[in-house]
Amino acid sequence: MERIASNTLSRNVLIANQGSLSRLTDLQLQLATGKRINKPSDDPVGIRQSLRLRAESLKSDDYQANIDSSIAFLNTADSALSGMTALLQETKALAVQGGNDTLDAAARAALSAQVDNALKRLVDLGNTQHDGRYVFAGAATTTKPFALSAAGDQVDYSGAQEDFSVQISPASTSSVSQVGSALFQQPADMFQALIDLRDALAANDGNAIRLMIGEIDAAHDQVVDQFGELGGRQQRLELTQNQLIDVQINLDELVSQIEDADFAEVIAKFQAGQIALQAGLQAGARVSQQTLLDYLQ
Amino acid sequence: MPDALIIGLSALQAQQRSMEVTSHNIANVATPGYSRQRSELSSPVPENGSPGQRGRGVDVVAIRRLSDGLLTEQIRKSSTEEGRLGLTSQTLDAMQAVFNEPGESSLSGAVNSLFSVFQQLSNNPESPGIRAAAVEEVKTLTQIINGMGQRLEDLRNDLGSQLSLEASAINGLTKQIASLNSEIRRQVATGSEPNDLLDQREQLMNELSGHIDLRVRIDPVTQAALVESSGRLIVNADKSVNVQVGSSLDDLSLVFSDSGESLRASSGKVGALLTLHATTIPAVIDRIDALAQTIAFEMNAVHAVGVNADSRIDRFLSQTIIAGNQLDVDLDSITQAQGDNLGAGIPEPFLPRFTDINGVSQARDLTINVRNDATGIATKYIIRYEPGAGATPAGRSLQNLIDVVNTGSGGGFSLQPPQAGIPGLTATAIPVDGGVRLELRAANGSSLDFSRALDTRPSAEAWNAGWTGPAVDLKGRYTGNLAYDPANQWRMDVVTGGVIGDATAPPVVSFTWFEDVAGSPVARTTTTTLDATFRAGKPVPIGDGTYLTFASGSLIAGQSLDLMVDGNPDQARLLSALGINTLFQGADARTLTIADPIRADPSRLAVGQSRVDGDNSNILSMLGLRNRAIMPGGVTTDEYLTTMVADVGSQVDLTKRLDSNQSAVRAALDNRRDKVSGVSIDEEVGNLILQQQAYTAAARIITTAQENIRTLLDLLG
Repeated sequence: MERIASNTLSRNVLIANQGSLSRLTDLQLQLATGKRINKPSDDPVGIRQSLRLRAESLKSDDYQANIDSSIAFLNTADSALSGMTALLQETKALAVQGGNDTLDAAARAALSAQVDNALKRLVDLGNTQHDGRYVFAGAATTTKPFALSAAGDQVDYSGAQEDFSVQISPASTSSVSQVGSALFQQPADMFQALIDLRDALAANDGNAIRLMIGEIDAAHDQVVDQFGELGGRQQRLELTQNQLIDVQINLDELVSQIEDADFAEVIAKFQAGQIALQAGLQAGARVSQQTLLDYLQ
Repeated sequence: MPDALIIGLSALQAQQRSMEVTSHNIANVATPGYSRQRSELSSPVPENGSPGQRGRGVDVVAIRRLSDGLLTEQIRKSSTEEGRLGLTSQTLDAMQAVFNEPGESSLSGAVNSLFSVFQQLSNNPESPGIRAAAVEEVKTLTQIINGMGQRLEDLRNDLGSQLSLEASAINGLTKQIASLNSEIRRQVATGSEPNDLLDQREQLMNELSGHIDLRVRIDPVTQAALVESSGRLIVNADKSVNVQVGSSLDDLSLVFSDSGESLRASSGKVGALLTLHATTIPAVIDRIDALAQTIAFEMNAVHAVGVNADSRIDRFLSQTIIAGNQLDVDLDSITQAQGDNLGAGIPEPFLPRFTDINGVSQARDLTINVRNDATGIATKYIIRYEPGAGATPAGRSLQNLIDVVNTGSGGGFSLQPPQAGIPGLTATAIPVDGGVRLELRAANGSSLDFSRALDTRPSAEAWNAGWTGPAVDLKGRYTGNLAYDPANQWRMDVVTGGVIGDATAPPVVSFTWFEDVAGSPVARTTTTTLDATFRAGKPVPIGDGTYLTFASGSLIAGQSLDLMVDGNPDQARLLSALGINTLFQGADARTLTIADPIRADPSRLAVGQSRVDGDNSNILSMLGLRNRAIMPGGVTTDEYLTTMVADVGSQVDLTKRLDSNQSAVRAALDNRRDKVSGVSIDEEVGNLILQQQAYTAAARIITTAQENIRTLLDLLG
């Protein structure tokens, strides 16, 4: 039979109770913070994943914010383009009307004034702003892109030749503000078509007026094309947005799975730990009190 | 009948002595290191008599101390390991706390916030508010990195003060062991049994073995303990050797006071302190330093070549100080002295790169754009470094750089196109404390930048003879990365003359240029007819994002223009090295800060790569760094950071597990020791009862003997 020294008993009780207590402290911290991982050593593998996923999720937040502002920007551009198509259709009607040689010079001069008016509205549409920034000025978002020259014979573009773009995913950027001269002045120049029509009407030159119908058609088609392309871009952004949201929901779920404490499990463990501690304390108290002396007179 | 009296007396004395031993055991039930004692009783050699032998009672022959020598050695070894793991675990815990992960105010949180505010800035590059917010985030990041660097350094320095506490604890213990040795020897020599002193000494050696790893030998004759550590007797009988902390602050060590040799503790608390100080903590500091340096270096390289639309900087002063006597030393050889952050020189990771990976010097370009603020016309000057043909590469010192700016040549540097210095730009070495700073100052009314922005008015009239045509402007953003001659030297030839934009006889131009096809230059020729589509003011596309616009006028056949693009304005990363137009300054985690000029004026945060007012391309480049494997080991910043945190976490976790494992081992050893040496009250009380009864019985013998004698005396009476 083994000898059991009096020390052994109290040492064992102490060690067991300290173990229970430190487990309870851990569990209590988990309950208080709601987190399973409160410091890296709680789960070195988990913290690595959760930090990485959290960074991904925050990146995704940023991309979504970028896409939101891009979509708002593109919506403004979209309504400007639809205004332009309407205006160009209107002008085409004026050109068809003006091309009729039964009209006299005065009637054509009146039409010319209408075209001039349309031209000014078209330039205004070209200078559409969203949130204080020009949507057709390329990267030069604070520079007014289009202006009728002093002589009134051409529209000058002073925006930038590069798009303004923002990141929408780790690998791709999306143009927000586009280069206006590439949209409206090349290859067909809608401003120039209106200027030439206006001048032809003023000059009462039937042939020249009829020639401009084709030019305006070309300009109109070009704007319609841009319209379609813009719609495609908006769609693509929305698609990316949806993907980002889907991925983010997954990411957040994963982060939560890794980091968050499972309350049911933690509480169950906590109760089990409490019972163990109490039992240990009681048993320790009883056993260590008893010696042979208790039974001697 | 006197024998019975003598026998009874010997029994009385023996039982009394035994009861003393039992009481002593009970009294020491809770004394650490106490070994229970037992009185060894034996009956003395009997007298020969007839019939049979006559017993002579009982003697206490010895008071034995019950202890297991093998176990004591195991316990000492366990103490050593426990000392090492306990201290390591505590220190690593403190180190882990420095990281403050997971959390918002941690390093990973600050990196996330920085990139997030940069994303916002990319949406509103012209906004002064967001630029100021971005500068604040940069400051927060540097403060967090500084704090971590400083706290880790403090933690490391604390180990030094802990070691001196260890030294005095060790000295105290060895001294006590030595004095116990001499006491024990004295008592052994007089034939007594110094049981309690042996226990005390064992306990002290246990304590000592928590500090350092020991080998103990007990002299069989004198019972003196000889304690050896690191191949040296630190306790030799009644003499002990003192230890003290070595004098070097950088390499922490414990040395013997007499010989100055170092005590190479591999375990125990001292071993833990030395390992933590020499390897564990420096390894983490190195990783944070590398993180700080890489972020600074990569961000600086992007920032230095950035520019803002409204930037009117006419003077750059280098953050880096070059010692006055090193003006003529090649810039890539002026390393900043280690640990001397205030000293002159270039922090090693930021040294300019004039050589390839094989150490062979290479040609390098540095672009300087000088802009006339009144006209907005910017002219691109390229400072080219050519290593030359000889065995020793041509000079690339600060003085050479100053000379090439001022005179057009200096060491291996020359100007492209060749000319006598950059017009309107002066380079000066400004004396400051500890050396000089490089100053680049533009003439009044002009400003400087180092961007890849195109020459707005190319090939300044000065160096292309014969151009009499209308003014020409380069527009757009060069998207290629080509930098070297001839890849960045483009040319326009007028093939057919005529009035620009003429409907019937328009002029024809052809561009000879190099397209960047996956980094390699591919020669291209583009011919464009400047008809109504390209009338005056309309951009004529060339390639890779570049355009040319003509003022109205006519072109003459046979005329030509040289155009210059530049995809890599600072190939040697000279600007980062000298600290010109950088985002960060400082050499390591503790000293990293935002660059002074940007701290003073957040509008100097360079968001673009051209002077177009909404250009956010430089911010996009900095954002792009996040997804690039720029960190040591070929990983991204995020991966590097998370791996570092996870590594610290698993180190702590592992040590804690080992530590608690060791505690369990120790408890088991203690329990085993108690089986032999521990006091059991039940047992002692049992013994006490027996001894008491024996004592009572012995007393009875004496009473009986006395009665017998009285009976005899009565007979005589």
